[in-house]
Amino acid sequence: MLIKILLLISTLILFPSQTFGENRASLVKENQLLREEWSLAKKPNLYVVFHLKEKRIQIKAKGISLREFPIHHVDFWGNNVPDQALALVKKSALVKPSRKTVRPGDMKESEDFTLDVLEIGDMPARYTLVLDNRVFISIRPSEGVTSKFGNTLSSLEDFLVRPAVTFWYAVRGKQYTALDLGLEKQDAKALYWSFTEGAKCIVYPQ
Amino acid sequence: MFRDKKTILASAVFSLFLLMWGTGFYIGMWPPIETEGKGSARSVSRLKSENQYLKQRIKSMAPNVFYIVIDSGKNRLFLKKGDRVIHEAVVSCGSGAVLRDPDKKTTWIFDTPRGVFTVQTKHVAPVWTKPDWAFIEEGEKIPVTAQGRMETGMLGDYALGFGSGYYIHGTLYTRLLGRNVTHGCVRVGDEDLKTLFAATDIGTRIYIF
Repeated sequence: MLIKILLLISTLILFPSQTFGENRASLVKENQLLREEWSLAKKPNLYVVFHLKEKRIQIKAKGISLREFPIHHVDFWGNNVPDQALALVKKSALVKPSRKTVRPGDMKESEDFTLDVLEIGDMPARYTLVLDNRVFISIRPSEGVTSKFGNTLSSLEDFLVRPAVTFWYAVRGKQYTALDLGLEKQDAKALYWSFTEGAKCIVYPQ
Repeated sequence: MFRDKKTILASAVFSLFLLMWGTGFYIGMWPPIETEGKGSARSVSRLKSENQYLKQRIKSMAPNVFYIVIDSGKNRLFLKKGDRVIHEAVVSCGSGAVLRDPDKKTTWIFDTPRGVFTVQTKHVAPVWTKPDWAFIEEGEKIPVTAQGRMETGMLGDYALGFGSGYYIHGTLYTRLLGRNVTHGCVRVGDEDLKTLFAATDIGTRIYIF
């Protein structure tokens, strides 16, 4: 009997049923985000949609999905993501790609020139997207030996820095959300390439 | 004695960390102050149908006619109709390079613009009217007359203008297709350009990302 009760309690703790209130709240949130996406889709600009539940990212314009990336893992810290379109304030990376400067007259002797251009391969695969309303999305490559080493360091950061920051913002009563997303290396670079400062995104929650 | 002190200190630091981690996580889980607006009075079934309707409306924005999608990072162009890819081509997009005019203090950034555009002009055997940067880049003097800027054969057999001086056009440098080498225009191979020119009209949408 005791075992049965314990099993029942642990099942309820591990797999809680969605209550009516939670279901309604998530529908209201989804409704608000869909309205935000609808207004973004009316404009001629690119926008990014993070579907955390379905674990995919879409680059969209006018409602059309132009490219899609799978998300391999999601970690979440802090408050819920606000129910609104968020603008990308800046992209923060350890080594930022830099534009090449052409000097006047450089192209004259262009017969044996070497290509010195900014391409997708020059983009970082590990970076943080700083959005407005203090929402931070850290992108990490999920494969490769160096990626694993980097991710171990990042995990250490998660357990040392994130709690303190979450606590600090909570005490001050301010919004703070941090998301860690694991993507394939090439997808991470492609997202860095296409998601430019000032562009907006929608984050559908888990 | 020393070892005990060290153990106590380590335990205290660890406890403090656990306390902070737990508190931070717990407070972080608090839902933000909800300001329910329009959705507050609606029933669950109404919300569900409304959400379904919104999803459908967003999805239905894809044109049922031909449109062009350009991936400027991968240097690929797709001619599409609905969800179907009708034709795929390897192209060249903007190099992202920066050119500064030392005299006029003007700066050009050679990016292919991103966003949604439409075909505004269609040209057969286009003549390139070279802009200032083309002369500055080559260290040449900018001509005074419009005639001095004209150059034939550089843009291939066709060109599709999509605004602000940007074109989808042909190229002499076919070996560089697939690389980011242009000044912002989209270079396409001859055969692919022919297909594009035939499939598009003025007003055909171009999505660049």
